[in-house]
Amino acid sequence: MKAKAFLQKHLGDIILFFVLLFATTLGTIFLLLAPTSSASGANIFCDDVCLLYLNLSSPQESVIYEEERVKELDPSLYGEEVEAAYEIEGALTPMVFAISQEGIAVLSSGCPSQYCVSLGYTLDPRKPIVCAYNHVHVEYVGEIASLPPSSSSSGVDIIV
Amino acid sequence: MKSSVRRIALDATMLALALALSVAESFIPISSLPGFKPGLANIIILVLIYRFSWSEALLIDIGRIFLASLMTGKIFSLPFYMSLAGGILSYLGMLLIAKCFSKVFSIYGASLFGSVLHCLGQIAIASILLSTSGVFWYFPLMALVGLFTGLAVGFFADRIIASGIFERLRL
Repeated sequence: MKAKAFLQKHLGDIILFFVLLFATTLGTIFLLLAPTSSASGANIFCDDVCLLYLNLSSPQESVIYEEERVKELDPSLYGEEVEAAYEIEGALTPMVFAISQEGIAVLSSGCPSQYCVSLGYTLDPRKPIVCAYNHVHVEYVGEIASLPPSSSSSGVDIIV
Repeated sequence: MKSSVRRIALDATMLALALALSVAESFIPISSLPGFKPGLANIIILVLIYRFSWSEALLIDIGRIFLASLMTGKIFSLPFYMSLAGGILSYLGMLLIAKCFSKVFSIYGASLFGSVLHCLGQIAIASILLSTSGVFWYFPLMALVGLFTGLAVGFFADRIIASGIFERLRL
């Protein structure tokens, strides 16, 4: 009797819960089964301005678009696996990006959550590197010639 | 007169509670989901919508987002706009369920709907302000976790209203 009354009272809620559960589970499964990236590079944007292009196949050929906001660092300071390292000026604090065989990582950031740092090395679009605090995000790209699509930068400042 | 003083005291208490829950949940680490919060402050907003008025709920929702952002130093930054968008969208969703579909859904349904809309609002504003659709990758997982926190929020809000505390306080 109690169960019947409960069902009558909460039938709409139960249906809503299972519809949402089905939709979100399906979305999560799709997300987990999606193909991983075969990107050859990545653009680093801050406030819709492309600051830097990281060339993953040849880190030394990365491109700095905003010289006053990006500084090349000595990669050996960050360990043997690091092939190139850059410090960029985020909206609020500086961030250090590094390239290794495993992909791209944020080595340090002044953001309180440290979520971007906790991702470690990644090339996986299912784990997009986003730092909301610094307004920074990373977009993977296939070819260096195809970028930067939404950059308001006037052009290339320096090729390292 | 007495009643309006009680009401002001109630609103101040509710705002303080919502603010305390907002700040407390920022210490809950769910590291695999950036910016994800269980939305515990929605307990207060739901109680206000269901037991008091939609205008008080809106005022307290916006007030606690501004004050929590001020306290954590995030005011007018991207996380602030994400909180604001998520908070307002979830409020509108819960209000819609409470006012228009109260015969179909109970407070649990409103909480579930609000929780999913809260995630959607946050992701949408981050996507617009960062000019990237990449953040939408997080939505299904955030919404999935949000469903269960939404159930918990609905349960607590339901228990608070059913406890009869407001009747005892003659509010």
